[in-house]
Amino acid sequence: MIPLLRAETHRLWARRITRFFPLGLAAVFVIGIGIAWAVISANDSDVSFVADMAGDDRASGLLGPVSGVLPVMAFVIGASYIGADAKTGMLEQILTWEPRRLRLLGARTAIGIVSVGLLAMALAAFFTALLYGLAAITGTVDGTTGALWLNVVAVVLRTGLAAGLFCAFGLGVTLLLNNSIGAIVGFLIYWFIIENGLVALFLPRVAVWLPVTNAASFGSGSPVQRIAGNAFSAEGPSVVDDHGYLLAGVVLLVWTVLALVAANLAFRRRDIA
Amino acid sequence: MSAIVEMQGLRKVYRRRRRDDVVAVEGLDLELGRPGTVHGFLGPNGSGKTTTIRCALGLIRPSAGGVRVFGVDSATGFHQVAPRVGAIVESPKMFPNFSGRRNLTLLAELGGLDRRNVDRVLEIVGLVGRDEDNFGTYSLGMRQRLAIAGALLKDPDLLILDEPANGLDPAGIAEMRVLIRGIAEQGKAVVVSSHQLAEIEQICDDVTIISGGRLISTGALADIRSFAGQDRVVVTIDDRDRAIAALAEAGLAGHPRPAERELSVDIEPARSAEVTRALAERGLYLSGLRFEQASLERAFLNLTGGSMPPPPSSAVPVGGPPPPSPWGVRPVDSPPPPDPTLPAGYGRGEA
Repeated sequence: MIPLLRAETHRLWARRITRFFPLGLAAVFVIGIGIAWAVISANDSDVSFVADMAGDDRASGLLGPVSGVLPVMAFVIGASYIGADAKTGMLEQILTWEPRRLRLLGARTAIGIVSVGLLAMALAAFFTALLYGLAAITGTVDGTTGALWLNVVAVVLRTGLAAGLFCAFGLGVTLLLNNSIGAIVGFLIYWFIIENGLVALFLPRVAVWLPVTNAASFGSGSPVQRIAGNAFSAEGPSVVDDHGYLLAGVVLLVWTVLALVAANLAFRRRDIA
Repeated sequence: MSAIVEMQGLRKVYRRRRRDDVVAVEGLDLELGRPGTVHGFLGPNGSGKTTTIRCALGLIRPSAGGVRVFGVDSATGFHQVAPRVGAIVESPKMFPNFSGRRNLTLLAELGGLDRRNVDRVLEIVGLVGRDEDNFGTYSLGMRQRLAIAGALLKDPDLLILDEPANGLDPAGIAEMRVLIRGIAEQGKAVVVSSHQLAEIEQICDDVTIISGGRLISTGALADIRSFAGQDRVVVTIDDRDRAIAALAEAGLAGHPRPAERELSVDIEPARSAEVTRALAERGLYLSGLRFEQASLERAFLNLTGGSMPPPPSSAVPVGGPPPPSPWGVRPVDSPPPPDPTLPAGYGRGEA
């Protein structure tokens, strides 16, 4: 198993998407913070790191701006990790070396969770550092106590775990569909239109159990919320808390396990031709 | 010596949505690969060769029957023998954005092999110097070499090569020939699937021919080649009918060929002087003469009902059809269309 894990680790990290997607995101973070700095400077306003960025005492608002982006990155990396093999035909080659498909899938899942989790944590930490720098330059960092930093660390760790699980989810979905481009495009459509749009508006009690919502909630530490009452009423929709971030983590785990089990069943029966 | 790959009743049906199912392999009973030999695995396009190889490697599940490799059912236990089997299936497959060396290193890591093996196989296939280039920039011939290097990494006891000479230039093909023979001479079993029959003929000890997913013939190369009939002399001459009559007077059987001015004489090339003398003595002068050897290609086409222009029906080898095969041509349920130039049962284990 160790040679397989080693080979899969090298393979994942040798892939351009694994290196350039996070680097691209980091660049976007820098540009975003730069724009924020320019706006704040132009308006001559102060930014308090704690009050304006971290949100509540669990620092759940800290990664709000990026909480949706990291699962997308994780899904894309997971999907392309398995999809590249199918596209190049390399899966055939690999299976003549390691024919045990469950073992191969297990190794990839483990490597995907750990690697993408680490990447997401690094990005989350980087984003936090940028925010801190922005606050320090334009306003104040008063209130950054040890307790807050512990919560920040917890947010970063959970964000990493959520991204890792989402990578495994993407890997499972792609293996199930046997089409990485279809899986990625389908996921984006699903995320923007179905989960965050149609289901959230018309089936809010269902929406709170869907994967992306729970991944974002688990990572940030904020509760999963849903629209209560009529979303189109004159007063506008009201939003209520449905369940906490720990249950959201469990929901995400269940989705991931379901995707992987289904993928394994399909993969074991599939002809590689 | 027993074969390494044994198939019994192998059947593979590809199910297709809204279309008819495709029977790729139908009831194949076959043995391939003996240590120290090269086994040619031949068949027309779509005959089921690659499907058979994929079944042997555990990549696809047989619909019925099975394949045993080193005595292990490949559908369920191929992992037990995978370290002893190197293979290329259909075309070279590697990551295009990785260098040749990186691709091989990944495979070596996957197999828990020392990275020094990568240098060894790069040397063998002659890719030293280009190993840091991306696989995607390689020519087809270089890709083929790298794929072979990948298959050799394990130092396998059984090497399965599907069309290994594809894309290689003549020098590369010659090198490949030497390489494959060299591997066999080390005591390894090599199975080579190919359309390049002249190549197969030069390197193989045994040959199997399948068509339409069914076994047509299998055995030693010399025995399979016997289905080509015998060597011929092909004569180009203006008055073909008179020439055939003149040859008959001299005790030689000449047969008209599809080309209007050509006739063939079933005689070894060494005796071609008898043909020219018989014609010249009767005032007939030929304008061309060439030899047609009893090649594997001709045997292949005869056995598979291929498209090579067949000799006329009268061109049955002198002395009648060849004797029944002593090396066990397998009877098949539904053979391909018979070659009209051959007697009934010719090449199918029937006298």
